[in-house]
Amino acid sequence: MATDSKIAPGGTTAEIGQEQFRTDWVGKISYWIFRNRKPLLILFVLLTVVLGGLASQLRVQAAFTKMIPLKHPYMQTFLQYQADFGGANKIIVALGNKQGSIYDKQFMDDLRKVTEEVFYIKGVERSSVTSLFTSNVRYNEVVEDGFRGGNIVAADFAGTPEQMDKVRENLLKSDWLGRIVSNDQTSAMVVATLMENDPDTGKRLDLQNVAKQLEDIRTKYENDKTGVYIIGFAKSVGDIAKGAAGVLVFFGVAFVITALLLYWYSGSLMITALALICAIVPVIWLLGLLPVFGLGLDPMSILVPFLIFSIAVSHAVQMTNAWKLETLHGADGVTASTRSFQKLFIPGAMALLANALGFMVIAFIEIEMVRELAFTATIGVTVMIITNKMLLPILLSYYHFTPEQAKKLSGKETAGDWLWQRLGFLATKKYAWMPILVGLGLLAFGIQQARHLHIGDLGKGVPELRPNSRYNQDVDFITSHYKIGVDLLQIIAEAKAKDENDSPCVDRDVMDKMEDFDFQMRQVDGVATVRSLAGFVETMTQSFAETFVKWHMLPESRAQIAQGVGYATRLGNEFMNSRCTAMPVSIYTTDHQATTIAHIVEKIKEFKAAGGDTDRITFRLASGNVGVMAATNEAVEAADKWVNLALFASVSILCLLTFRSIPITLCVILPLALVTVLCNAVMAMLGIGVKVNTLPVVALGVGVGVDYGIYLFERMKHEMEDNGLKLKEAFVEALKQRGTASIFTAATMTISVATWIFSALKFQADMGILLAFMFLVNAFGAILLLPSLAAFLVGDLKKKEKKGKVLEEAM
Amino acid sequence: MKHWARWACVLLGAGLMSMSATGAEEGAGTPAAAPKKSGVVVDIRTDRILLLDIVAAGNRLVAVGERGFTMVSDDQGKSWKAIATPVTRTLTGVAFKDAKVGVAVGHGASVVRTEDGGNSWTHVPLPEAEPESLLGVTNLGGDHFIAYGAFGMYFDSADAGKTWQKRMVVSEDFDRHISQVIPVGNSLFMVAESGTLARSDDGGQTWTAMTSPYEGSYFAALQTRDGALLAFGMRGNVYRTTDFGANWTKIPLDTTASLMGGKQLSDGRILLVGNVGLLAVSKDDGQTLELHWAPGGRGYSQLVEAGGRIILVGEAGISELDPAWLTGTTKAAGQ
Repeated sequence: MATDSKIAPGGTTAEIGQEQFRTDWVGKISYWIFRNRKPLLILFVLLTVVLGGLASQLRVQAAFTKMIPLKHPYMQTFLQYQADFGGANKIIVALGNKQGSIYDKQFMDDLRKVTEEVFYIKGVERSSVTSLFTSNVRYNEVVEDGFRGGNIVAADFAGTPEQMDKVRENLLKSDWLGRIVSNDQTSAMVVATLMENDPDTGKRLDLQNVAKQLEDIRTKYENDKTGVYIIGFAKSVGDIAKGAAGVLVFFGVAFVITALLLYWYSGSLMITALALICAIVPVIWLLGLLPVFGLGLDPMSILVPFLIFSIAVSHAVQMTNAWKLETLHGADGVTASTRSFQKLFIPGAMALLANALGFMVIAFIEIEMVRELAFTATIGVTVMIITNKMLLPILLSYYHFTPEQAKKLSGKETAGDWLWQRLGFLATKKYAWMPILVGLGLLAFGIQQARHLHIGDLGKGVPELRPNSRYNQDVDFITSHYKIGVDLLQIIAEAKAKDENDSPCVDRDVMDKMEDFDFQMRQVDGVATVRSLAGFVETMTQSFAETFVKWHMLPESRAQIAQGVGYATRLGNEFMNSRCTAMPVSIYTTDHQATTIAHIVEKIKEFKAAGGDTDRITFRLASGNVGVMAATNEAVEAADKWVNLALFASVSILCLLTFRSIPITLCVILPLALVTVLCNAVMAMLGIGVKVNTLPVVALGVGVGVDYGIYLFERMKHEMEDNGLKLKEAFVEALKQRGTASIFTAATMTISVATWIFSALKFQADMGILLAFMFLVNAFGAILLLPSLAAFLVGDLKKKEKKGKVLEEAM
Repeated sequence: MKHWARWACVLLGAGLMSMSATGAEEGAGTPAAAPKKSGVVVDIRTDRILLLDIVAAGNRLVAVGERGFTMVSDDQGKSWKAIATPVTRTLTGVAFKDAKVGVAVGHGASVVRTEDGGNSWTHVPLPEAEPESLLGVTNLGGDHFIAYGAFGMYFDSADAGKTWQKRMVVSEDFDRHISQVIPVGNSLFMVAESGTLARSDDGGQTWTAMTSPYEGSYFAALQTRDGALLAFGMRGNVYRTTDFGANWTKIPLDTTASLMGGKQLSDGRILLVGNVGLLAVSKDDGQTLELHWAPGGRGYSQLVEAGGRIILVGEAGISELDPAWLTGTTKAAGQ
């Protein structure tokens, strides 16, 4: 049945005839979609309602094991001994007297109360609670006839001046100064270890809940006189999750800004609403699908909804833009929709596929959190193909402007035409050398700067949080007031037992190697202190020898070594496992900069190779937070090349498939490569390292950035091959049709990710800065550099003979 | 990073650069020069090694300590060089005959000697002592050295440490750890574990137990220029005699930290050092002592004066005494 596309205002009553559609497969898909637009629309609405309901089950988590490269050999060591030495999940609550010392009645009262409150926090291992007010804090002194000791704070302590003096005296006899009382005696702390599982439910302990209870203690006791400083993994997890959830507020900001921009750009409330709906629907679907796949949101993947939203806006703008241009030329709703669909299906789907590929290659990084990010983003892009390529055209097809109405809307779709006209010279050989020269200059600059790019974290404190966050300030307070390091690299010394009854840790040869390791590691730059069983036995031997310093040594006989080891067993698992076949050596580092870590790890490997590892004892890397960072840095460094290689390879293949031309592919890819180098330069200049969170940025940036090139060149090729335009005219024409939309989407997407810069998490702020850079600069690369490259690499394409039935007319 | 950069280069047809992401290694701290010892992959730092004794050998200072390492300085302690010995047990004492020939002893019956001022050391096996600990060595003039240590072990060498003869001390069943032996005129004075004092008037051939004013252990002794003897050790105990032990006077020192070593300085002051930064100074030949504490709370074991500087050795390796530490009256064991 023949249908005149000019009748059927509003498109609502129009019958959809197959003749209207191209005969190729795009046309067939398009025909099918528009034919079934009503049932499809109903289906989409239902889906959105159902998935929206499911999305409410989502929670923001920050699980530790998800953030580490579990397959890395260091992490294998970590996992193997987690049960033995996993008691590292400590919390520290320090009280500081801002107006004096700890020998103050009010201060001591507070300390006692805080000790009790920590004791009753759900999940705290009660026997582990340690403070001046717990019975496990004793002093020992060597006297003429042996040892003498007692509690530092007596049971009948009431805060009298005499009792205060006694506490001070006992403290100085003990080895607790610097450990639970600060070096300057103005602060004291309560330390506790958390259990793995909730004692009531048996489920994994809810660290965010622990963090909340700790924060309650702070609120209760902090005032002008008393400072409360809280650190520990549980607290940092709580703060990170809180900061991550806070970023959702920015989603609202990004949404409003995008809406305003859309309205300014399109001049139509309706179009703005449709674009927003089609941008928010994939986000709803994504959030609803996550629980279906058993996923949650973590500080990293929480950013995916932003990305999906802004990418969806970008594609929706291309679609509404094309639709409106069709309308301006007199097409009705359905015709404009079907034409737009057919024009944009290939470049749009290709661009989205490129996005998905970009996200998928991130999965090269063997860190669960990154993989979930990749997975989440891939789902998001996939659903976007449906919403952008099906839902939006269907919605648009129900809507209609007359050309007169459309003109009145005074949108900005053609606002850039004056500029695009003037940019034509970029696509001529006469002038193309200029942008190329500028590009080469930028490349040289970028490479120069990118030399200073670091792997890993560059700051102090917990890297996910900002340096001036409360948590990191507390870390700073505690590390500067106590002899406590928070950056710990743990090496597990594995010793082979000769038989079932052998305790290798009393073997002189085994302990000699450990003493040697302890001694040598102390010499390494970046190492603050080392604690090992060998060192502990030396200290105990000196104590047994009436503290004569010349007996600070490792005894020769098993019996004497066993005496020291016996004392170590009283400290639980700090120095060894129960069978004494694994002994952690704790290396506290001065900081956790990647260079520091790499240097220490290198020295450890040298030590192992130079006879440190024997058939009796092996030193295995690595545990502790610095061990995790070492593994993460190595995993990131190893993945870096593959991610970039796979990224550019897959995007190149995609371009080749789309354009079937190597020169065109180069024109699209080269600007992206330049921007990638520049992104690295920006990272180096801003002191942002290549980390778990920044590594995916390049992939995301390239995956999204390739859109501009694909959209533009697809049009240029079409104009040249089908309409016989010269390169310059084709370029101007492509810009007129898609340039304004590209610039507009670049701007909205940049603004959307740029809101992350205000996140409480440094983690997210870094990503925001870099993604904003990639999104914006990639658009310029595509508009300014791509045509110049095309002038040299592609030139004017010959007009193809029309193959009869392709009815599509440009404009 | 290198690899992707190269990839980018290939793409850009510019393949002429390579990048390094990890940057230059930082070089903090002041490590001494690398010692030659198998399996040692690090430069020894002057502040990260336990050093137990220090002496002057001519113009050179020689300190000995942890895992058989020595530290030498040829500029009065301004800069130091680590020199390894053939042993891996911790060295406890060192003594020189002159600027060149010296002996160091340590745990595991370790004896090493040098004939080039400590540039190189050779191991002198002492099977009779194995595997017990030697706690000190004293040069008694010329080639005469004595070495002593755990369970009453006492060795004598007449050839500058090449060969050693075991000697009985006090009695057959004497088994106290000998802390130090010092020459006093033509006699020798020994301080040892659990209130043990002894003297020899024949160069160490025979020993007589002396009556001790204290039942705890002595860790060191010194003779002042005016002839008084100080014996000191556990829990801040210092005893003084001017008649070689006929009468002892307890010198009050308000601390329970133990004293490990001491010297009389060129200006006549006596400086005793000990655990957790203990510094005790006397300006009256040891009749009274002022108590001070070095910041940091790290223990010291011995000191030496060189070129107007006082060099301390101990748990934190080498440190120079800051005269400010000895001013004021810091009574409590603070930081």
